[in-house]
Order: sequence, then C-alpha cells, then structure tokens
Amino acid sequence: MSMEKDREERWTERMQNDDTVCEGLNEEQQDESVEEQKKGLQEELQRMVEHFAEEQPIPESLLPEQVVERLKAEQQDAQRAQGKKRSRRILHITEMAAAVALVAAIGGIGTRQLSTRTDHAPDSSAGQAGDTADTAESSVIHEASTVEGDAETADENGAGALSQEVNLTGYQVASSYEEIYGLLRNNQEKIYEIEVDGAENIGIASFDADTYTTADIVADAATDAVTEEASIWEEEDSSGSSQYSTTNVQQEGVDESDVVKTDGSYIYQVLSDNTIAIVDIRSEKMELAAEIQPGKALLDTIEEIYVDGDRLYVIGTKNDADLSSYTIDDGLYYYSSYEVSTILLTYDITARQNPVQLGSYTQDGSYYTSRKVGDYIYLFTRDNLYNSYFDDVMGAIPCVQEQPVPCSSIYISNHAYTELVISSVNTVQPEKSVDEMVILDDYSSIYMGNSAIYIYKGTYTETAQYMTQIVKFSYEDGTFAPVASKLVRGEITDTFAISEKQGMLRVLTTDWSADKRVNQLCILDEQLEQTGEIDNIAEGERVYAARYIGDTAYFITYRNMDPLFVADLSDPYNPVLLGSATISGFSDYLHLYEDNLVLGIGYETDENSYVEGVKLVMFDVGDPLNPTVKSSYVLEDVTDSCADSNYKSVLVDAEKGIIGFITEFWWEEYSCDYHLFRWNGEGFEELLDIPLSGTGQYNRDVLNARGLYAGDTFYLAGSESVTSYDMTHNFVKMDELNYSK
Amino acid sequence: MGHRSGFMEERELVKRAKRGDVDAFGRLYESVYKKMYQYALYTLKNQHDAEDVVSETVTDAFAAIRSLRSEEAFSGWIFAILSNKCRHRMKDYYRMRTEDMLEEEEAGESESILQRSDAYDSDWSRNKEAYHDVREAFFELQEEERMILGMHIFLGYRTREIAAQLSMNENTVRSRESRALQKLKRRVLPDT
Repeated sequence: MSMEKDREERWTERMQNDDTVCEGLNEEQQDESVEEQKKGLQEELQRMVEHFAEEQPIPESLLPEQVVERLKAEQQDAQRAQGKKRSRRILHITEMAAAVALVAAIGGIGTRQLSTRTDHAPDSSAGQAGDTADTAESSVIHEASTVEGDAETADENGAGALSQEVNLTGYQVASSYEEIYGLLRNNQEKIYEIEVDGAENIGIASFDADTYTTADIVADAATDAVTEEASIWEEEDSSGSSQYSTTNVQQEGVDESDVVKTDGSYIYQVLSDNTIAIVDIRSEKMELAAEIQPGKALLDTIEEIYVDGDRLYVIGTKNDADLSSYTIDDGLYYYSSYEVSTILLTYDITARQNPVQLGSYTQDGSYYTSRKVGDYIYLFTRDNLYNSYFDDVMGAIPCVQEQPVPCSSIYISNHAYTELVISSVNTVQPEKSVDEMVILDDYSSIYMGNSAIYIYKGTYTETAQYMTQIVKFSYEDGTFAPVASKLVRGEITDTFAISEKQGMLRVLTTDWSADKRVNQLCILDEQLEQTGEIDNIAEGERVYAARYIGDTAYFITYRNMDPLFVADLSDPYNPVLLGSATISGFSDYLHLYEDNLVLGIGYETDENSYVEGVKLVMFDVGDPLNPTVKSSYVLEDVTDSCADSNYKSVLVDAEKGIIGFITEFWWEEYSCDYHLFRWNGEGFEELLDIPLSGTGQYNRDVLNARGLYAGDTFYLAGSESVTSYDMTHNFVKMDELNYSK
Repeated sequence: MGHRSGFMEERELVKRAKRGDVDAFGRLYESVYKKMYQYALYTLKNQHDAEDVVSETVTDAFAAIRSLRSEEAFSGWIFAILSNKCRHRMKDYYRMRTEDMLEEEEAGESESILQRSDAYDSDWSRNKEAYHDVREAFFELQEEERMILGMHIFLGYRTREIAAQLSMNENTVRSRESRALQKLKRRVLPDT
C-alpha cells in the first residue's frame, strides 16, 4: 500500500534529519567520521525495519481482512442481541422530539412572542409518521415544559406564551436535572442504533450522521482558527501608529486567544512542553525573561493565552482520562468517565521575570475556543456525548467552578449529542463566573459578533432540505440572554461567511440539497427575521471563502475557476450583487489588504481541478462592478495552505507591506514552511521561506508557529526557537533564541 | 477538497469509521498494522503476546473511535493505545516473575525468535549477518530501551511524544535513547 511506502520514506527522512535520535550518541557531533558512523547505524536499523516488514510473517488473525471480518461479526452479534429493545427506544425518543418542538417556548429575558411560526422550523415538525401512537409520552414532555414556562401555559400550538418569553425553535430550558439525565441516557442507547441502522436514509439518521460530518468540517476551521490581522482596523483607528502586530481575529473588536502574543516589548509563547516563554524583545539581542510552568497539578496541556497589560491569561486543559482506561463493556460500548476540564489561569506579569499566579478557574469540557471582549473572557467547551456514560444525575450536569450549571441555563434539544458549555469571567475577579449556559444539541459551531453569540449547526428537514439553524444569545457584560433562532437554507461552509454588523447578521450559505448546488446570501435583523437576500448565486459551485468589509461582502465560489463576487449590502432589504472577477484556482481565505485591495490565499488548480500549488491573489475591488485581478503568485512545491484552517496563523499588514502564512507539503514526506511575502503595490515578492519541520513527519506543534512584528523587527516564533529579522534591511536574520529543552 | 491529499482521505475514513463503518476502519488499520505488529514484537519479544496486544488494540480502537479528535492523526492515536497496552503487558511480566527469571526468559525468548528469523535469513540474499546482529542486539536492550527505540523506529514518535507517553522527562528519554543506540552501535559496528 502506498501509505505504507510513504511512511517508510518519511522514516528515512526522519532518521537522517532528526538529531534527537543521535543526540548524545557522541559529543563530537561535528566530527565527520562520527557522523558517517551514525548514518551507517541508522541505515542498518532502517534496513532491519524494511526487511522485517518484508520477511517477518504477520499472524493471520491480524491481517486487515481478518480483522474487518471479526469486527463485523461482533457488530452483528451486538445488534442482534440488542436490536429489538433499542428500536422501541428510538420511537420513544422520536416522539419526544416532536413534542419538544411543538412547545418550543423557553423562559428568559429578552423579547416577545411565541411560535406559531412552524413554517420557519421545518425540523420542528420532523416527528415521523406513526409516532402519534405514543401520545402518553408526548404529554409527559409537554407537561414538563409547561411547568417550566415562567407562569403561563403554552397550548398545543405554542401560542399564548408570555410576551417575555423568547422562542428558540427546537430548544427548551431543562425543567430538572433528572430530565437532562434521562435525555442523555436515552441518547446513549439510541445513538448506536441510528448510526448502524440508519446511516443510509435521510430522516432520523441523517441529522445525526451527516450533520455531524458537515458541521465537523466547519467547526474544524473555527476551532483551529488563529491570526494576526486585526491590525487592519487598528491601523486605521490609531492612524498608522501600530507598533506591533496582534492576533488575526474573526471579528474586529472581539479578541481571540492564541499560542503566541506580543505587546511590543515581549513575546509570550506557548511551548509544546506546556510552558509559556516570555521573551524580552526590547533590544536586538533577545532574552528569555521567564518561563511559566503551571505544572500537572493545575493543567496537563496549555492551549492558548491572552495578554492584556500586566495580566497573562492561560487557557489549558486538564485531562484525567487515561488511555489505559479504555474498556469495553459488552464488546460494543466504550464508556469513558467524564474528566476533561478547561482551566483559565490568571498571572500578574507586572514583573515579567517573576510572574505570579492570581487565580484559577475551571469549566467542565474539552476546550473549543475562547473570546475576550473588554474585561470579559468567554470560554467555550464542547464535548461529544456519544461515548459518555453518567453514573448518576449530577454526573451528567457540567460544572463551572465546581458548581453545576443551573437548570434554567441549560437548553435542551431533541438531538442532544453534543454538550456546549459557555461561561464568562470578569478578569477583575478571575475566579468567579459571571454567567454560564449549556446547550445540548447536535455538533454546533459558534460565531461571536460584537453584540451576540451565534450558535449554528447544519440540519435536515423531513424533506431532506439542508438548513442551518442559527441561535442568537446576547452577552452584554458577560450575561447571556436568548434572543431568537432561525433556520436558513443551505450550509455555512466558511468560518467567515457569517458576520454581524450593528446587530444585523449576514449569512452566506451553499445549498447542497437542491438538484444543483446553489448559494445565497441573506440578511437578518436583530430578531433574526430576514430582511433581504440574494438568491441563486453561482449555480453548481460552493462558497470557499468569504469576508464582509463594512457593507460589502466579498466571497469566492469555485467549480473549476475562482470567481470573486462583490455584493453591496448597504440596503438590508435589497442586497445587490455588483460584479465578479475570475482567475484559475480558488482562494479559501480572504483578507482586506487595504482600501480597494482584497487578498486571497488559496490554491492554483488545473482544468481538472487538480491542485498544483498554493496561490496568492490580489484583487482590485476599486470598481466593485468590475473587480479585477491585480496580480497573483503560485508556490508550486507545497500542497496545503493553513490560512483557511487556521486563520490565526496568518499575518497581513499593509502598513508594513507584509503577508505571512504557513504551508504544508503532504506527499511522500511531510514538510511545513512559513512564508513571508511583500506586496510591492504591483506584485508579490517572496521575502522569507522558513522551514518549520525538518523531520518529514507530521507534528502539530510546528503549525503553532506565528509570524509577528514589533517596531521594525519581524519575528518568527517557532516551536523550538524565536528568530528575528530586520525589516528595514532586507529581512536579514538578526538573532535567534533557542528554547533548549 | 478530497483531491488535496491523502490526509484528507484519512479524515474521510475516520468519519466513516465513527459512524460504524468497519470497512473504513479496516482501511485505516491497513495503513498501520505492520508497524503495530513490529513494535509489539520488538518490545514484547514474544509473538503470541504481540498478536494478542495488537488484536486487543484493534477491538478497543474500533469501540473508541469516536473519541478520536478530528484533528488527530489516526496512526498516532492507535499507536498510543498500543504502546500503552505493551507497557501494561510489560508490567505484568514484572509482576509474574522476578527480575532474574525475567532475564533468563528474555534470553530464551529472544533465542526462539532469532531461530525463526534464521530460517527467513536463509532466504535473504544480502547482508544476512548484519540484520541478524541488529535484531539480536535490539533484543538485548532493556525493556524500557526497547520501548523507547521501538516507538521511535516503528511508530515514528518524536522524543517529546515518547516522553509524554511514558510520563518521563524528555531529557531522560533522550539519554536512554542515545544509550540504547550506543549499545546497538557497539554491537553492530564494533570497530568504530
């Protein structure tokens, strides 16, 4: 198999390059003969490996075909043993789903009216024909939710709720912890059945299997995302006086944590051995000012950090689950205890050489992402509940600072497979939660605008129409309040395709379920009511990248060419497509470079859509009716650009005229490079191409490299060292600081 | 974007496997099983144990595939399960026997494997002795050294990953590794 061959070759590469193998083998590393001997030994070892693979028979029971056969047999046995019982439970749950949707009124602050709008909620009527048999069950649920409703009862149609209630179609506030426990337990039993039996058909199965898949992709992009770009706006605000770069964020005004930060005087970097290095960059000679090691008692993995004045905020993960705890119950289930939590540590770094820990904050769940607005940090943790097993009621309820999230802040839906926990911390009191909430639903992604958090996921209606459900919560001063929910047609395929401006939400989606793919852009008001839309954009193509700049939307669709579209959204009731420019390949990341220039980072492709390399494109959008390609550049020896999957790794700064990003090469061997380009007004000039991995092996640490600048110095903060370059003298290397580990 | 690379194909397979697709899981397994068996055999020095451990790993991995995070490589993940199991198996050895007996048995077991290997060696046309020597020298290493070197050679782990896996200091891993390599070198290339 070719994968096998690739691995062998990578191994060769690694043995030749990776000094850690031979480090200490001999102190006189410069001695050529010793080098040769080392090489000889490595070659011997490698030959051993190769010949072993060829000559050593592998027991038959381990051959892939045998293994597949055995697993299939086990799967069937398990199904046979449990099939009947489960089917009944599915019915039970499906019934419940219908009931929940009917009553969909939830308590909370905020606005008006209740739902008779079933037309906006196709999946609310997704109850399957035949479910009506079990009406007893539905009335039980119904009762539960009416008890919950603040004072009023909701009738069968959901009408008659209090004016204070907000309708979030498809969600309701949990009435009791027992209800949540029951829901999750039922899921646990239901899930396997759906996955195994129903993977083919659309109805019940597809919201599970398919939604998970597509949302997963979107979420990957969102999770991994990181950058150095907010500087565009900052420059404008501070009239060109930006002294250092900041993390490239999704939304101006909403900061994001990252693995590298700078305040112009120091670089703060998360290292892979779970320390944070503080590097003094005030003089040409860089110096390690301090290293913070929170230690295993506090956390196992450092994820990301914020720096704000004399405070350093460290987000980490504590993972008490051990691999050896993988156990099988009846050969089918995997039960893991729920022991992952996300930690926020606050350090006083007034004395950079001597950071002092001030507070520690814990939220259940695996780290998903975080945001910071003003003094408030918002932590998002997200967990798949597929494999979770809860011993008792309280075991199912996530905690924030060791307190279970109150029932009234837990929103449940009819597909509670993922637990999204959100809490806010006022950094003035870093050990206290301001507010928290939990959403139990399908796998969802978040977008945080200036006024609200939008939680979105893909879902199918019973007519197999693919929709995106968006739920809006305001977050003023750390306090969450439900606002509205909405279903829009199609799928959000790019992290940047959803954007809020002054309370209005703009959403660009691709609809896959029609005969031909088609894209649309819709504008929603503060209550998520649609004001206008542009329909039927680029039939047969999908959205690869989007960016909203002021009242203009820029987006890329692709089939075999790359049209950049420009749309005017200044009239929310009548958005208009203005013009488009076409070039080969496609961009999957867009960035406003400066007025009238939009940078695209993506791929060059041939006529068969085969990727030929990573491509930079500068679009001139000065005339929005006739955007043009000003220049482009293709990097041929790389296969992937990380700009799309990890926007925080992008550095774009028009004032300094620089564009930095990471590329990967995934072929016989793996390599990863940081590229720095200059835009000279006419075209792209390559300034630096810095290899990030010499090992030939994929290692996610290298992707944590960031390019940044302070004053006239450019820094590349890599996993093993920080290197500085003189931006005023042709980017000559100035200094290098190794994190000798 | 499935045309972009083999990595994307792996992601797709992982997603299918998560939905219970055994064939997709089988394809993922196909890409790693040789390395898994080699690692298990070289660390445990016993064919039956190696077979057992790989088989258990497969069962557990399939049952737990949903806990594989989307950005995580399948190979790294399944290797972690495997190396953990090998480690536990080694602890069992210790529990069952005294250190002295262990050494005796180890010598015996390695002998038997080497004899089997000799049979294959006879088919080899090239450098038979050299391979024989390397293997023999490998089996003479301490358990921990075999594990560390095995992780590096067969599983493609980096020092840092080995350290995390074995809950050891990275420098310790590095020094053990170089010590192990020195032993091998002394044995395989004695004239250097």
